[in-house]
Amino acid sequence: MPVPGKYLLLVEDLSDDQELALLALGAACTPVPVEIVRDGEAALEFLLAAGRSSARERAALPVVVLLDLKLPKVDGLETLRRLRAERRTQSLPVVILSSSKSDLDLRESYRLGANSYVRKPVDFHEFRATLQFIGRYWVEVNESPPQGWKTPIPGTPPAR
Amino acid sequence: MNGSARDIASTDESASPPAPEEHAAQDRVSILIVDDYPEALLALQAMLEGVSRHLVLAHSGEEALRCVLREDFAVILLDVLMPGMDGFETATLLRRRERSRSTPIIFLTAANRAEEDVRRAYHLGAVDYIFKPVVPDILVSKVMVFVELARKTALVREQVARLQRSELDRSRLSAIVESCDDSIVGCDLEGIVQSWNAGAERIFGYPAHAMLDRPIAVLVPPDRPDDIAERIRALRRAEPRRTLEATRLTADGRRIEVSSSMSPIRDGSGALIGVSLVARDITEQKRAATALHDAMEAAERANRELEAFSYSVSHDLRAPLRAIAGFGQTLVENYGPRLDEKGVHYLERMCAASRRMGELIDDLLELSRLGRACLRSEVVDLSRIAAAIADELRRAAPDRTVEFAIAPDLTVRGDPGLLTCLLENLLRNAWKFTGRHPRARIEFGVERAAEGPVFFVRDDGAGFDMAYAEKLFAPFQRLHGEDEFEGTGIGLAIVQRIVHRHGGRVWAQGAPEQGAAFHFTLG
Ligand SMILES: Nc1ncnc2c1ncn2[C@@H]1O[C@H](COP(=O)(O)OP(=O)(O)O)[C@@H](O)[C@H]1O
Ligand SMILES: [Mg+2]
Repeated sequence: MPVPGKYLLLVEDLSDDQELALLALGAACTPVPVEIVRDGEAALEFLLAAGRSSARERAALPVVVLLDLKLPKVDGLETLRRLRAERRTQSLPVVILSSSKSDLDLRESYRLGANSYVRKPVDFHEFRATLQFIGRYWVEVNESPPQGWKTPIPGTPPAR
Repeated sequence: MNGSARDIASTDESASPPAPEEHAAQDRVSILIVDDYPEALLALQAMLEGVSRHLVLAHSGEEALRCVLREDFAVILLDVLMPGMDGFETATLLRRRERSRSTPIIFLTAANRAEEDVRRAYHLGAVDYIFKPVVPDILVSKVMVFVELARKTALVREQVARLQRSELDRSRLSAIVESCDDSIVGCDLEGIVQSWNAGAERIFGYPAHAMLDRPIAVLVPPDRPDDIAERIRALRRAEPRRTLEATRLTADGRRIEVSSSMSPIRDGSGALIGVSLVARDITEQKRAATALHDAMEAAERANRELEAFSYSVSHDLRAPLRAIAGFGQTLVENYGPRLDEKGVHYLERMCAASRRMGELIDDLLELSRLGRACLRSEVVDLSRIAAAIADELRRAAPDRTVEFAIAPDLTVRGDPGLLTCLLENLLRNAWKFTGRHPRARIEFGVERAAEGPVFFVRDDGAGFDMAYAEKLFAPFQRLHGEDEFEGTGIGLAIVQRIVHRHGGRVWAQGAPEQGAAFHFTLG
């Protein structure tokens, strides 16, 4: 049974990887609806414009964004930075899904506020298990932050 | 016995300074007094005490001759009338001696013999005479003249010696300056060349005659600021001096690089009267430094390119692999039933190959990362790391019978992460290549050698043919088939890189089915 209203946004330019991700998530016990965009610009458009345009005002954010780092136009790190700068998406869960395990990518991702960093395994069994695990966790286990929740800057007193 | 005789004879002498070389100083002027009457000697000594502190007394002509052998005298007072050798004979002999050839002699003579004695005395080269009985004032004033003369002579002689010495210093110095490879140039404060050594001629190509009295500024390229004039001004303002590098123009129009320093030349009163410029041709060094810098930059560029390359390898090469593996697997799972056994087998081979290629890519990336990672230097307990790896291996395969012998407390200075990786590769190899034996023993220890500690990991497993011992450390080189022992062949390449980065060396020993030993040092 799909969980109503919950979906996952995949930002991925390679159609192979898109399809593999759909295969993996589609084969899960609880299939999760997936929206796909092909680059960072489209992702920002999707997530931010969705909030501004009155027609889609009510449209809910995805439970999690699976963000590739190597993307055309606006790359993954830049996308993440801009999402964190916007009130609406400031605390939106973002999982970096990358081929690289470069220390620099890892450090930058967390510095810019990624919630998790996952390396895409070459082996399909692992790949599938990993994606299903991520889907289950964010869709079924994790409670999303409330709409409009503003992540406090550490060390500042809570707003009344 | 004869000591007492000498004592008496030398009573008077003992009052005078003993060693001749002590008379060198100009104020140490000696006077020799010769008289056969001891009372007369004592009287003369008393009269002259104020004139000189060095009075030498002699009782006879013979003794006087001995005295002049030992030292120089400002003046000799010589009694004419003496038993044995008289004054004239003594004077004659004194004149024959080198040391006393021109020493002034004053004869002491009785007034009644004056005319005769004086004539002979002058004839013998005496300079004066005094009548007996001696009048102290006259004696002192006459002797004083010669004492003063001797003092002045000594002074002049000393100055001449000093002059000669400084002349010697000068010529020594100028020999050094001339033979020096560096250019050494003296200029006045207007920058006009006053001296020009051979080094300057060699470096700048101008002979001395072409540069003397000409401005040194001809060496400064016209398109450059005149650093020499600027530095002379700075020196006049008493600013601190420093060595700098400058470009100079040679006689044949070449540009050369020199390292140049300037020092002040001062006159006796300390006033600045000129400068001395020392320059060394560093054109070659500069060229070498530039070449080195270029090479380093190229290496850095290559490194950056490599980094970009491995980054894109890890991203772009892996993506299609993931697709092959992913779709292949999906094919096996979803369409397997529609394929026959062979079809499924081929598909599975494809998937396995893509998995392996993924591993190869990962290993290659790891190797290139190791070459660049910066090295930490900490105290690392190799024994503890080895024990932890051994535990892990045993836990992963509890059914194997492997004895680990790990020497305790082997600590070194190095990078903890890299050294762990090194031991991990060697111990995992030992574990892997003993896998076909029912029981095995793996040892980690140290041997003390002249070059320092040599660590080793030894096993009694499959071993290898020593003919290939060198090859093992090259990336992807394996001596065992993939179906015999799995692996990619990158482990020992990683080991070697880690050892080299620690300044050490690594080598392998083994024999087929007799086990293998890997030795390494860590610099
Ligand atoms: N302990 C050992 N005993 C026998 N052969 C070894 C041992 N260690 C390494 N070798 C040989 O060296 C080759 C290269 O080793 P390595 O670079 O670690 O690659 P891998 O372990 O992936 O095969 C191995 O394939 C094997 O042939
Ligand atoms: Mg190995």
